[in-house]
Amino acid sequence: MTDKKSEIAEERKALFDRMYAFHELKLLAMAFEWDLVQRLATEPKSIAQLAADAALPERSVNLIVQALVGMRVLHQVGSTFAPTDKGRRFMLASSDEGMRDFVRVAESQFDALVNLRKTMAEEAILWSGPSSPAVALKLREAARATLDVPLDRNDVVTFIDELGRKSREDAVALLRKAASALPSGGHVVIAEEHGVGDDRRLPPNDAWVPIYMVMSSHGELRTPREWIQICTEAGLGGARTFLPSGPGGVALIHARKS
Amino acid sequence: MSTEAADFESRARAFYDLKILAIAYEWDVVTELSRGAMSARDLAAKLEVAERPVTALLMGLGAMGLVRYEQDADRWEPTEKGSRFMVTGSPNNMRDVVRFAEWQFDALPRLREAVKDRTIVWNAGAHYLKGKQATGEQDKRDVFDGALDVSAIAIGKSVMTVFDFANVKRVMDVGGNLGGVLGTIMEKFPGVHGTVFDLPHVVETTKRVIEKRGFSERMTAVAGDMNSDTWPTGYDVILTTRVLTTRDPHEIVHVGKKALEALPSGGRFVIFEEHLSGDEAHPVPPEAVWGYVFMLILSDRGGSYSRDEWTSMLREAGFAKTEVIAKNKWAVVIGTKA
Repeated sequence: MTDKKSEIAEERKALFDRMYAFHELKLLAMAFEWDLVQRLATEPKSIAQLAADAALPERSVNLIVQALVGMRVLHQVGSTFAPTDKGRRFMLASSDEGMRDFVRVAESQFDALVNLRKTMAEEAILWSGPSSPAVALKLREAARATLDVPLDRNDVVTFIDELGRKSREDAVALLRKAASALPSGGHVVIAEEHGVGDDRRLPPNDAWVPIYMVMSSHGELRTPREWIQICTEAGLGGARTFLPSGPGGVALIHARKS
Repeated sequence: MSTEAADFESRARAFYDLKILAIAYEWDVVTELSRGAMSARDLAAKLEVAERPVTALLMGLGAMGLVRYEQDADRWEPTEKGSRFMVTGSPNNMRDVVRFAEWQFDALPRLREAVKDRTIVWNAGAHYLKGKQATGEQDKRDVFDGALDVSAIAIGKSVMTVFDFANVKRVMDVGGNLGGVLGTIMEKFPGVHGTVFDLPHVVETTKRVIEKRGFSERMTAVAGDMNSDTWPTGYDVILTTRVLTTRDPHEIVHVGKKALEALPSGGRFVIFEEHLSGDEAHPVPPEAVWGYVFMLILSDRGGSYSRDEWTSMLREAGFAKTEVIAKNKWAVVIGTKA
């Protein structure tokens, strides 16, 4: 095979692999739903034993288990199956890194995405989830560590994980309110879980972020330039943005009332 | 968060990518951009939708390396990869693959029913499995047939890597659909003549495809039900690809007996199947994972058999000699008549 042909074949394979990865989230959801990995944590079991424990058809359990082996969450020991290290880390209730909640939330997004055309064509909101306290904490810490602004002072208004999910108009209106409440020289700090540079370049694994923003809110993934425009329109000056060194990740915006 | 945890989350969230691709293909976004780079606003106007979701879609495609943003000119254009795989008319266009995948995606919110009650929640293949006309939309049946036909080329090539057709004169492909596998083999081996044996409503289309591809002199199509009808005879190889794994063991043995009856002494029954159950020495490879979910939603029977189970079923059917040649995610099982 020529180099070019081989390159195309590799690209095609990678694209195919990525597009067909959608089954994996559902497999994880099924595994959590029936505690299939958890049930194997103390002792390996055969398909028949596991099916009986979970009160599921053997055929279904066999297919799920085979797939979980492919995902390297389980491995086969003789005619029985047991969690791998990866399975123990991410699938067991006792693990600090357990992914049950993550998978549950992601699965609800999966199911909502069936109707994505409604968002694309009509800007319908398909999914809404509560703000995560852990994310808010992470953003607050990032702001504290990056900006030279004491967040708990009374001349500082913070918007943590808030304005990215608002429409441009609503974001401007909220910032205006903040500006009117602040003394001259007061600070506004905006912290968003997801950021993108003015080049709008996202890492390969973050293709989901801009779609998530529009399917779950009236907001969008904004560039530094767009945030500065919004702050300016709200009457705030000296807006500065802070993005991580690479693309994607937390975005911080700091502006002041003149 | 550790790198492994981030990788775990990232892989679990990859489901967004398929929907991004599906909408981009449906709206032919990359083809539009290939006619001239443009801003998200202009593209949205052309598509008659709002700018905000179009920008999100473009950023998603950008992350996947299919389009790029020219910041100074505020416009989007296809990358080489995007032109290769997403522009209408490109030989590597993957629109049908994505449509097929999205069709499965949309069935997966009902996966619990399939797991718990063995309900078929994806009716795409029901007309094949049940041996009757599908009541679904013709458009989707075409997608299903098209997807099978595209993958048939890969299957034909795979079979030929482990089975030599050089001295074979006549092959019958049972459940051969539009003749894609057989055609691939016949292109490589001009001495091979073949027959597709499939359900009557499939064979109607197969006959047209055979003529269109110029195979009329070497390929025929015969209508029949592999379970209940008498099989045509006179073939030294009977082939079946991706048909039997969705059957229960007793059905596979029954089909094996039919093959045995139709074959001459020394004739071979060649079965190509994916979604093998692994064993300790041969764990399921990562690229095969999706196939097990596919089996869950497509069928309420079979789905995954091990190398030993295939051997045992062919033995029970009466084949004197059996052989399983397994590669990564597929296997060719060969039964030879005494």
